[in-house]
Amino acid sequence: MNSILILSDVVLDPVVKEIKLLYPGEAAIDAYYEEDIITRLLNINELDPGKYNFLFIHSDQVFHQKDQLWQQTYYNAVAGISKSFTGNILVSNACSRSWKATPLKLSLGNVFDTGAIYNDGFTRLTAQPNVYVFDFMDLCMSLGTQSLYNYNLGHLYQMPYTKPAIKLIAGQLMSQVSFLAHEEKKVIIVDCDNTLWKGVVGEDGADGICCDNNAEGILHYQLQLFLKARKEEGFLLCICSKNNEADVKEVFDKKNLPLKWNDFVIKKINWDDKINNIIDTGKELNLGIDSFIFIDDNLFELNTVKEILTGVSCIHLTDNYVDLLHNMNSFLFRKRQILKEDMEKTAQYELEKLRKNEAHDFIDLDEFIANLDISLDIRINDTNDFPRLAQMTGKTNQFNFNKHPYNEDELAAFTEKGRIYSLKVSDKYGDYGTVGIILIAINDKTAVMENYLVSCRALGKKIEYTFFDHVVAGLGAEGIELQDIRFKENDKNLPAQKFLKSINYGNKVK
Amino acid sequence: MEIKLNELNDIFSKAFNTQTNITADSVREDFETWDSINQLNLVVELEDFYHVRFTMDEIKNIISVKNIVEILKKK
Repeated sequence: MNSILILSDVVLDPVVKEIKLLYPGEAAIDAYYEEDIITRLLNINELDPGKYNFLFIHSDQVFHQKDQLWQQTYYNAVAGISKSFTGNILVSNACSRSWKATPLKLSLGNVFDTGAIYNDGFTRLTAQPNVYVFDFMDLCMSLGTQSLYNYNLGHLYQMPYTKPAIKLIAGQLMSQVSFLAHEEKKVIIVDCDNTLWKGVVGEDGADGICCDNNAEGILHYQLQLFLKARKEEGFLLCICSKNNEADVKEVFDKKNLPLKWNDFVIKKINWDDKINNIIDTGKELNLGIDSFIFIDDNLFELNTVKEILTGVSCIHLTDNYVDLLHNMNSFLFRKRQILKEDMEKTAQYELEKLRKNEAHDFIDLDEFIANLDISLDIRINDTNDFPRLAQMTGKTNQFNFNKHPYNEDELAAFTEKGRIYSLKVSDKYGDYGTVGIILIAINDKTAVMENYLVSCRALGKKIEYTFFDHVVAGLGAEGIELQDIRFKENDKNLPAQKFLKSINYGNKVK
Repeated sequence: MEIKLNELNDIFSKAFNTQTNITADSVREDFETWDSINQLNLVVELEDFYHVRFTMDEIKNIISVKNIVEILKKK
């Protein structure tokens, strides 16, 4: 159980009473009120502070106006305590009301002298490793000072808050204590349909789903913006969705969404149950599921996860915007501190995955592939394949030599000057379908590889090498020499770049 | 504003954190628990329940059920 020592320059007994009522047994609290809070702070040892693992210091400078000199002394006193106090310290940022008439041109708002919250003293104070801001000003913003303060009570009883304010302070204090007493959340797993967007992609199609700044899709659009910001603060984003992966990928390819396909480090898009998908995500990330947040619109999924994976924090995405705002404010999504490394988390993780894959290559990949019983079916100028091939030229990004979409007519026209090789793959687990295409333009005895694409689901099994070798060897047998390979580097076709580097055809690449 | 005695009793119970049995004639001296902290709690709960704000004089006059009813009726 947490034990909290409260030192305040206003009476907080109603807050303590509220905590005992709403959070029974969660914290032992002792609260001391002293209008001269600096003297109280300087004599804190009288209160045996070693007994407590949290210290909440609240000077309400909206109610008690203080000048800058006083503030400096106050911040110095707290900083002094922070060096000897072994637990965490929460310092309220309730700052001075300015009595000066603020010139409108300089107005930071008439009520709060915002300069005072973030002045040097306060910034230096919260730079101490165990000192955290208790964001009282955020409470003021959400409730409004008119509804938060009761000055009559304040002047009679030194307790200047209304009932709604008391509830909010109690709630925020306990949320923050609980947040600091536990490990931070690190991973946000989201569902797709009716969560990342409005609609069901399997039914409505990629064009039928909605996620934009208009009324219908705004909630989902805002959620994506919110998640993107969290990602930039170091959260890892993952998808867990009952869908066909290709359908979901298509939405990200077609729609200009705030979040991109690659923003998600792990995507479990299949028809397995979400429990196993979440457990697998934890294994792959090498992170405990206690650090996971799971967001879904489906109460059945949420309740199942909540019941079986008790450490996962579940958030229900309703169609009510107010709920979204409330959830976004939750401490679950907060970080104690944000460092530069946090902002690069996803990129780091991607690199780690590449490394792992490479290590894989050298250890047992050949054996793994040999065991798959892969068979390739390569056809030339087969018009039956053209619809799929045309789709691939538009959709494939990772292994695509030149991002240049062809339609079926353009493919048919291409066969007049060259050959279109299409690749079908299957292994002992099943059929991959048509996953590769090579375009060869032929001029007498010389050939140019105009394009080469392999769908990402077929990558990692050396199929791309076999297909390439087969085509080039076949041309050689006919006495046709491959002169050029057309290749255009972009920020998405890294696997194709790696492939080219590995095959030693560098002098032919144009 | 109509003030119901049973509602008022619930507010007293909540404020004093104990089951109370007030009557229309109850006064502060009848309750051991009606100290200054519970006076504060009582005012907070009354303001919250009836959506009113008391003046400082009104707060000082909250010393009996009769007074409370009178003050609230004027709001």
